[in-house]
Amino acid sequence: MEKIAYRPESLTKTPFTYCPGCLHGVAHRLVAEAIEEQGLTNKMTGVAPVGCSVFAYKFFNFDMAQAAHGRAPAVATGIKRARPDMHVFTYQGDGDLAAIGTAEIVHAANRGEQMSVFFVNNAIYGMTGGQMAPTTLPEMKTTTSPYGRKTDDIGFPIRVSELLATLVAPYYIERVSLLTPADILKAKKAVSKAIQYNKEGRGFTFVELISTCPTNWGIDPIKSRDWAKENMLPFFKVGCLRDKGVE
Amino acid sequence: MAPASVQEFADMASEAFDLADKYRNPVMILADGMLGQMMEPVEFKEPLSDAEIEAKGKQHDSWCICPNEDGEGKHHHEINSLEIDPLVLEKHVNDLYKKYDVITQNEIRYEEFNVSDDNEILCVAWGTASRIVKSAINELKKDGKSVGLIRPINVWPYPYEAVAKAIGPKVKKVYVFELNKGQMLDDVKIAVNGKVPVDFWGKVGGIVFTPAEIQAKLEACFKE
Repeated sequence: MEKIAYRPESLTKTPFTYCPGCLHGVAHRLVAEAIEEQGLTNKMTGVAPVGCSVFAYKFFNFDMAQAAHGRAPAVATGIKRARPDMHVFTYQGDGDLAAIGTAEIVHAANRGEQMSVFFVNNAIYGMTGGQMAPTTLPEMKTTTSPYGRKTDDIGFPIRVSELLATLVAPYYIERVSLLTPADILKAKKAVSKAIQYNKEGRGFTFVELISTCPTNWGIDPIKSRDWAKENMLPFFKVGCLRDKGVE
Repeated sequence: MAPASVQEFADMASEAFDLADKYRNPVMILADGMLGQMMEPVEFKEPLSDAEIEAKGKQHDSWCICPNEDGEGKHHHEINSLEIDPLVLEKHVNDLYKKYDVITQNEIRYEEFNVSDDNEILCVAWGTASRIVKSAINELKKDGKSVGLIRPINVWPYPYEAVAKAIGPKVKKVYVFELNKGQMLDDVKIAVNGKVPVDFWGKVGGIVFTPAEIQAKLEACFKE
């Protein structure tokens, strides 16, 4: 009998610690499958962020490091330079990457470091209690913007993928969504491409995955996907911003 | 680590990496504005060979991030400092403190300058301040006044015993000179443990005391 559904070898058996309806589990699986398909399980290492996905170091079935808030690209830089025989990725949320980690991600991308970055954007801080993030949408209510994000005061959300796409060095930048099964299949292609380029040593690859946070948005899992489609995707448009492999 | 010359500063830079690697512990070099801005001749040590570097890298293979293999040999190393389970965290913290004990045993470093049983004053100073104090001590020597100096080279682990032992039979005061408001003063007080009075003079804002000023401070002590 053909086995069509199984847990990838590159994930440990540790159960995920995510809330019901959270899409981190999907994102983990896509990354794990792509690593396995490229035959990189034994040569891969990852850097986990601070935030909901901090325990990513327990979930991926190879050596993992966990960095201080936002510093995953700096740690990954060190690992790759000390162990050029290995491949490295970071897995970061928007509270981690787009706020305190802004300097690290911009400079790692600008140096064209040999790493893949998987950036899960759900427009809010999750683990710390639903605070406003740099990616929070205009008028979106969070625990620290209870009347909605006021752009006069706080400014507009940062589009990290577009920001990085202004740099010369990055090899591949794409934004995908995890909101529907069809989107997830497309996301898988982008994640696989990033890992493939990583394997080939092409340079810095970055995939932003638009996700949800039913718990902190206060919207049930199904409706939160609809909410994200209506509100996040018009601002964070999916698409490939850079692919030197086809340019 | 607290360098007092540009040569020491340069030597400590590579040493700090080796110590950090050996103990898996951050190492800080406490330079000051004067050292950071002045020029002195420096001789760099011979760099390690590729083989030596490779051997150093391999000493941590049991836990560090490294390539994996299938089956029995498969490992899952985690590099992090986050432990959620209080029992695991307690063990982790206790293990860290065991490591600090080992560092304290192995890495106390200091310099004794003109320390003898004739000393009437013992100075404690580190970094640039220690060089100025040495000049003052040499001047006082010409007048037959005996002052000793302990210069901590590493300010952690601190040379408490060395400071305590250097308080000779004639010492009536321990004088701490620093280019700050007294960051090391409490350590000296712990070492002296009330045996003799401890005095302090510091300058801040990038103003550096002159040897003559230090000499005047010490001479005043002889008159007390």
